[in-house]
Formats: sequence, structure tokens, C-alpha cells
Amino acid sequence: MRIGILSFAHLHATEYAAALRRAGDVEIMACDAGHADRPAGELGGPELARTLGVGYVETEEDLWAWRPDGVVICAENVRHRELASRAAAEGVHVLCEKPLATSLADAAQMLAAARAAGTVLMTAFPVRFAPAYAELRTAVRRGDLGRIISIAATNCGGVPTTRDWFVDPARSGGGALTDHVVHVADLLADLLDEDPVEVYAIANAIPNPGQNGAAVPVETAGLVSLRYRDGAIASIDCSWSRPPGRPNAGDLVTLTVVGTEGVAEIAPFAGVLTGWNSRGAVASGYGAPLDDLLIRAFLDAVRTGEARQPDAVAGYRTVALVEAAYRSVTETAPVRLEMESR
Amino acid sequence: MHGTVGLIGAGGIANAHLPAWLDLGYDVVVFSVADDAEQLIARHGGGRPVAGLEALFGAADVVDICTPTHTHRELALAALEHGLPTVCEKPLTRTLGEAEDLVARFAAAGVPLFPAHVVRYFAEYEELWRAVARGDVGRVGVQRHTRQGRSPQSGWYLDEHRSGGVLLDLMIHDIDVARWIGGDVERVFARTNVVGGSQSTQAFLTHAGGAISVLTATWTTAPIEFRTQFEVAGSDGVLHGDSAERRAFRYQGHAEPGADLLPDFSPLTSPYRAELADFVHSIATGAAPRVTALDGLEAMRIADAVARSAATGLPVDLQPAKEEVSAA
Repeated sequence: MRIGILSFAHLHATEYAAALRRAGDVEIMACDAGHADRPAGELGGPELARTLGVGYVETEEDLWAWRPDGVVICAENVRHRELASRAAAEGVHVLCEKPLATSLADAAQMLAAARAAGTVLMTAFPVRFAPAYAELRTAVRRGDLGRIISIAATNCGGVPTTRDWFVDPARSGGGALTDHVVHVADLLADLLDEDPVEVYAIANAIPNPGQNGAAVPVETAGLVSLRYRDGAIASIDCSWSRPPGRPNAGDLVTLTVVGTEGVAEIAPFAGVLTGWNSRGAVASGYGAPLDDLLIRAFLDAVRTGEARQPDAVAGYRTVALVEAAYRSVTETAPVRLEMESR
Repeated sequence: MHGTVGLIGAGGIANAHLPAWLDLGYDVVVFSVADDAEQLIARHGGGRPVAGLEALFGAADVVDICTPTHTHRELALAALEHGLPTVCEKPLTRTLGEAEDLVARFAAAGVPLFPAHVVRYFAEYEELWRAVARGDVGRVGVQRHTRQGRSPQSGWYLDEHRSGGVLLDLMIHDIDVARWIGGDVERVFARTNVVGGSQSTQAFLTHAGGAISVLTATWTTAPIEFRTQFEVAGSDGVLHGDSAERRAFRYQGHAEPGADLLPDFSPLTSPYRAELADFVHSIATGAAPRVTALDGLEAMRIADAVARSAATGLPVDLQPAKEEVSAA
């Protein structure tokens, strides 16, 4: 099987490349067009491909000409639509890095293109494969929590510093709301099997300002409030609020689900070995290999031609939520969640 | 300073205040309409019951109101008639209008009124304030404050009209803390969900200085342990607190006691003692206490906005806090 990697712009590409290699029996070809334009010191191009042990072509046309069975799209967020649409036109299956798109219109176009071509479009939400989430889902389905009253979700990290495009809205589509709402929004959508009806959001750029204390051009703090049809409420803290150099505390993603019969909490990345040495804190994660599970699901989808979860709709509904959140910030009012196609 | 405290009410919180007053060297007279004053006194080995409010006001130098929320206003006004400095359990009153009226009257009479927002005297919150004040996280950007516990068993707490529910009983603490740490609040959005005896309120605050906060207060009928959590992130760092972590004492075993509402009193660690000592110091010296009547009023103003937002589904804009002279 032939799998292409379209761009190293998002460095998850390196982890997907490693997972593809571990999956075995996969020919891997990467293309990192535009790598020469990146700031000095940002890894990429043929050198990174060599380090990862995958093949490399210079242009995206070369990659399509290689006739891949599937591609993993890790380009800048705003390029997802263009690349996924091209893949559909080429009859190629897609695993797209999150967020699926930077606008609902883009996401809808990607869904339509894949549907028309009969190709698979999946969204890279590896946390969906976390054993802790599976336990939570089982507990909720079994009724251990009774009726759900409220949920508090967090996905807080630092400002991404490995690539400069994350804080350039023209290429990323936005800051913390774009980057960090979708993972937990996907978990909520799957857990409750339902989308919220209304979204309210507030944001600022106070945490982790740029050089000389100047605000970065995108939001670094965001709080989102959701209301569901049956009255359940949820909050999401998506802030890039961790300072640089903070050791892994295992709290990248958390969900607290409060019910009438029980309260469940998950921290899928809580598995961290902690200690100290003469250079300071030592922390290394030992959680389940979520990227491998995601890649395995994608390869299975490519093999069978049938989408696996998390699919295109999973990505689409989270894009709808993020778009509503931005509208709420602009209007300083709650907004109805709108989705044209499901 | 020594004297006599007139303690009104002998329920939950009186069990935290009485031993603190005794430890501070006060004589305490207790009146409770619920007829449970004798029990309270026997449990703590101090204080004496009085037959009615007039006897209590006659004996007292300071009044301490530890009754259900809806009775605060009337009792505080009675204490004011006697010109007595008054400690009032949080929330100051059941409604914002009552709180405005009460604070204005105490201020006009020049009598100190102390809202017992005790969380400002809990060690981890004191340390949070100190850390933020000395610049450990730079400029405050985003806060999360969470408070959750088992639904109260006592009837009045669950009666919205008497207690104001989880908003006025639990969230009022974090409203005060969020304002203490993040500054005045200019916009509030909130949602609440009530299912039988369980309820959650989530409030989203926009502070005048630009910070944003989410507060979550929960009562659930599930048998959970009481827990408080916070995270405060700023331009240069993040602070984290969780009552379920870093416990200096843990015990599991056959002797495990039933879940008491409040832990045993210790003069060294009791935030209630620290709070009342601060109030007493303020009465004696005229120095501002850590939490003033105006702070209690501002907490009520924000709580009122939370309730209105949750009811209407719309954000509520607040006017900047008035520059009045605090009654305290």
C-alpha cells in the first residue's frame, strides 16, 4: 500500500510517519513543498524525510503522480481544503490533521468532494482512541453517571513554537480556539452522540505574549460554553496557557462529567513518569500509542474503502462549533450552532 | 480585645465559628430558632444559650449571623439598630437589592459589616493571591475555579427562594475569589442545569482588565467528596490548586468517620479563625479587613448577573464598581 504525507508543516507528520513505518507493509512518500521558505531553524524538506526514513518528492504533482492509495494531510490549516479536494479528484483516501478546515464552507466542500468521489475522508483525532475515553464512554452508556448535568473540558497547552504559521491567522485560521477546541469537542460529540444547540465564547491574547510582551496576532486564551437540547451544559478551556519549558504534567486533555449518580474524570495523558535531576524536572509520558491506533484505523479504511471513526463528519461538526465560537466572540452573544450538512 | 459575641444560628457554619470565637477569647451567647443552641454549645464546650434576640443583642459586642440566607437581611438590620458590628455569613443576603440596602445602611450608620467570604482565608487561596500579587504568572489572563460537592441534605439549601441554590451557596465563594484575583467584572454569561436534587452552574466572566474566567459550581446527588480546584494562567505562567491533591493527612481504614460537613477545629489552620480574627482586628483598629462589605456587595452584584444571564440565556453587562466608602 502507498501512503503519501502531504507537508511537514504540522509536525504531527513526524509522528504519523513513525506510526506508518511501525504499521509495516506501507510504502511512504512525503512532500514538503515550500519548506525552503520557512524561517531558519524550522526542520523540513528532504532532510527531515531522510531522518524519518520515508521517501521524498519535491513537488505535490510528483506525489500525485506516484499514485498513492491514501494521503495524510499535515499542511497549514488553510490548505486542508485544497489538498483534500485534489485527493478526492485523484481518487485518493485522506486522513486530515485537525482542524479539518478553517471554515464550515471549506469543511462542507471537502465532505462533498469525498462523497462524490467515493473516497474516505477521516479527521486526525487521536484522543478518541485513548483507553481512558473508552472507559468513560462505557461508564456513561452503562448509566454509571445517571443523567448528565454538566461537563467541564480542558485542552490547554503552550503556544506552538515549532512552526511560525500557528500564530499567523492567514495560514492557521486562528489561535487557541482553532487549535484546541476540536479535540474535546469531538470527544463530547461522540460521548453524547449529539451536537450542542448553542455556543458562547470569550477570548483574549494575554497568556504567553510574543517577544517584548507584544500580544500575538491570535487569541491565546479561550473559554467556550455549550448548551445541549436536554439542558446539559458544558465548558471548554482551550487556552494556550502553559509557559514555555513547563514539564509535562499529564493534563493536556481533561474531561469532568457530572451526573446525578456519579462523577467521572478522565485525563488521557495522565501517564507521566516524573522526577528531578540536576537540570530540573524530568517528565516522560508512557500513555497508549494513540497515533498508532489512529493510523491503523486509517490504513484499515484505505484497505476497505470504508471510513472509520473519527470520520469527516466528526471533523465537520467540530469546525461548525469553532466557527460558532468565533462568531460569538465577535458578537459578544451566544449563537445557535448551524450545520448545513451532516 | 475581648468581649461577647452574639451568635445567631446553630447549624452547619456555626460549628466552624463557635470554636474560633472561643479560641479568640470571646464569650459567646447563642440564639437559634431551631432550638439547637444547647447541642452546639455542648459539642464545642463553650458558649451559653440565650432566650431571644433582645437578650442576645443586650449581651453582645459583636453579632455573628450564621442562619439560612433568606434571614440575613432582617437579622443584620436588627443588629444595626443596636449599633453592633456584624459578621454576616455569605451570601450577604438573598437578593442584590437587599444587599445594596444593607450595605448602604451600615455605611450610613458607620457600623462595620463583614461578609464572611472565608475562602480568602483558606491557605491555598491566600497563597494564590500572594503569588499573583508578586507577579508569579505576570498579568492574569484566564482563570478556572471549580467547587463541587454532594447535594445538601438540609431542606433550606435546596429551596431556591431561601438559599439561592448552588449559585449563592457555593459559587459566591469563587465569584469573590475570581474578582479578588482577576479584578472587577464587566460582563457575565452563565448557564445552569437542574436535575432533581442535582445542579450545576457554569459562569463565564469577562474582567475589566481583560482577563476571562470560568466558574463551575455543582451539587450532585451522587455520593462525591467535596472538592475545590483552581487554575490561574497569566502572561508568564500558570498556578494550580486542587483540594484532592497534596493532602497533608490521609486516612483509610475501619475507623473512617462519617463525612462531617466541616473538619475538626484547629486554631493553627482554621480559616474561620483567621477570618474572624481579621474582622476583630478591623473593629479594634479601623483597618480594612481582607474582605469588605463592598466586596460582599460586588459578589452579590456578579451573582445576580449570573442568575439573570442563566435565566435569559443572554450576557449581562455590569457597570464599574462604585467608589463608595466601605462600611467596614
